[in-house]
Amino acid sequence: MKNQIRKIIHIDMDAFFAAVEIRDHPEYKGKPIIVGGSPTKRGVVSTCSYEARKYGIRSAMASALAIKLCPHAIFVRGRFEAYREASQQINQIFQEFTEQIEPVSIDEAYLDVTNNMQNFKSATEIARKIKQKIFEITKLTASAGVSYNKFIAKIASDFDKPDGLVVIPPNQAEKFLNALPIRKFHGIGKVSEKKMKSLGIFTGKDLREVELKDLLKNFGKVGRFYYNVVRGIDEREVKIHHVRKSIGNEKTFVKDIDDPVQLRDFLKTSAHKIALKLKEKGAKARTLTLKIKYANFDIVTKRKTIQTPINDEMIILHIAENLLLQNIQDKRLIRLLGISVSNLVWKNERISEQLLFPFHKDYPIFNIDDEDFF
Amino acid sequence: MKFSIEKKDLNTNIQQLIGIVPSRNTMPILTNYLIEANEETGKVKFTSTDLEITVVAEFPANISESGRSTVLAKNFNEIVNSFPDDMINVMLEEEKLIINCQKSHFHLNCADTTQFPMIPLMNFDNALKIDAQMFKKMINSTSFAVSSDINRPIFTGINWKISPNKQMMAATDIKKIAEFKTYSQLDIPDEIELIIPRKGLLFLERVINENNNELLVIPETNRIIFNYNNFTIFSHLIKGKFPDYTQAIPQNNTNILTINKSLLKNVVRRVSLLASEETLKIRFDINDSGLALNAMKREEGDADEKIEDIQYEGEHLIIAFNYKFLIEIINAIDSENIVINMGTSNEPALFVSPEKHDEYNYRYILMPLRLA
Repeated sequence: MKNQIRKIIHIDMDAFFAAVEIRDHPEYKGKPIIVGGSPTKRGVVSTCSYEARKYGIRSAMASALAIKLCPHAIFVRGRFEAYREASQQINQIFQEFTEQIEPVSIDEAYLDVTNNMQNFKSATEIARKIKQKIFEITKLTASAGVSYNKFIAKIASDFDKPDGLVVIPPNQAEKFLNALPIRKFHGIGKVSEKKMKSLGIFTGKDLREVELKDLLKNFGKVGRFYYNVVRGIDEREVKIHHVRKSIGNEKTFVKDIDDPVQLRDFLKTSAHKIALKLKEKGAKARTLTLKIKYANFDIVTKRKTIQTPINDEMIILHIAENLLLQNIQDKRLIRLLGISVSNLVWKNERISEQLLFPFHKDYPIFNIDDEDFF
Repeated sequence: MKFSIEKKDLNTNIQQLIGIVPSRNTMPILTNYLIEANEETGKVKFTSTDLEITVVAEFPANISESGRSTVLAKNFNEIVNSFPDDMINVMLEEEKLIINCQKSHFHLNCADTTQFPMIPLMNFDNALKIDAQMFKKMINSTSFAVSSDINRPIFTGINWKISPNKQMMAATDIKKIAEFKTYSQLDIPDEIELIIPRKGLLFLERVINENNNELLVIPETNRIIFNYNNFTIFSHLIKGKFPDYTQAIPQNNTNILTINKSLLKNVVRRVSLLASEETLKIRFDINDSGLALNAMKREEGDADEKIEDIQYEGEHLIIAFNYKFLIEIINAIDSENIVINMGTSNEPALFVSPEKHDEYNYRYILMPLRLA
């Protein structure tokens, strides 16, 4: 198996939450739609339609800023039940083709179709069929990337969004990666990007010319990853049992900082992302960990465990802020800040295959769930 | 306070009582028993409560001095359990509860008795009399279907309906439904419908025995009180309207399987050894020639077994169930054979007994798992 060339498909739904809203509210069609928190309540953008993106609006941007960029944007509250339902339908479609599915998030998955159930020879054909079926059943569009490893498949799916289908066979990988601007390499964040540019690395071709030892020197362990992927080497398997134990988000600041406003802003975005992820997964967390890396690379981690599992953005933010206030050392510059949640509790019935009696809909769950999310 | 009692007499009365003590101690006093001895009545009273369910056990002992005390329930039960079968002496001295048996002496710190919630005395003269054995059977046949999801409180109790000529208990966790009806005359003017939390009923189920068939019940608006033997149980009631689950009960299922109960149970148990731990899925593939069961655990392997000795009317059907739910339902059916009425692979399946009783009947409905 190891030596066989794999056939990997990466499927990524196009502007998923916004697309579901437009599907269910045809009057939104062609308008800049923002799924996220209200601009008057210090909310954050979760997803926005392609029309909204034309105004420079992006995920995780403050809603107040988004409304400045596009004053006529329509804000909608997220309906996670609808998103999860669509996601389950999509997952069922995948299952018709292969059992080797790794869901990355609610709107994104890797499929290994090297040995597929319907014995299709061409992965491209499968990708096309999956896209068609997704559209037939959910009326939503997806972009697909097809290649021989996860890394290239992922970049390919992003290459021609929306409704794209990009195939990178092994003999074209080198050319494709060489031409790619480094910010398009998945896994290269803003900080690394800046550093690479300062080293004169702007494209895949530039990166390929750097020796391994120099990459290791400049980027640490992750340097080896960069070295491999730019050569089209990525052995990561499509993991079918992808049970997450924690969900985290961290940021290395472009410049080391001690400004409380900036630190708080990061915590806010981070709490938003984590709450979103928890809701997508139908999970709640009992433990929150705050990680602080100071400018001299000292790392401090502090955690708090609570009795009742949470998935609420404001509560996550509140706990993270308290941990930061209690532990931050005066007058020290911070290089990296991160929040992660663990001790996850799953809402089984939502992710499981168990069918429910129809009357369950008359008894909605009483908790701080989706309704109060934004 | 001072009394003495045989170990076995004490044990019978308190061994189930520990189950009422709350596991999470939000109020530390509730981890205690309130112990009261009354020289006049010649009885001791042990009270345990989690504020929603309160149980009082009152029973005879040799009392030489009245009084009251509160002591950690867990310690008390473990100590009594560890003693040999002999006389146990309990006394309160200088704010310590002393428990002696033969040459063992325990000195336990006591909490302030005034912190313990007040339990009112009850008079059962006008209480409703219920057949205790049948009540036990009803709880036993339905409690497994009660939900433990506190986010949907209505499903965390058993729906009990009583009318002048019948009683019914029903429970559901939105995946399965258990319903048990019994026909007998009751001295009530109108129908009464309540939702009773599982905990108090399970306590009753454990203490009801063959020696006494009289259960006394006082249903009130916000709570219900039971009296059986030495025990008085106060339980709060769950507010709200129980769902009309009868709409979800299939009426016209055309795929009908009749199978021996113990055979089915053995095969389900065996095949489920390789069921996925996440989904607990076991698949039924049924046609005229037999019932094939199979299960698969991704990394470990798979299992299948075919039962040919069945009666089946209907079309070829593949349907999957959570095997734990299946076993619970099989266990609740008290006849030699089981009849399963199924529709399609996405529709609820109805489990009944082929035998008809004059005294009672029951039915169980289970939602399948998705096949994909």
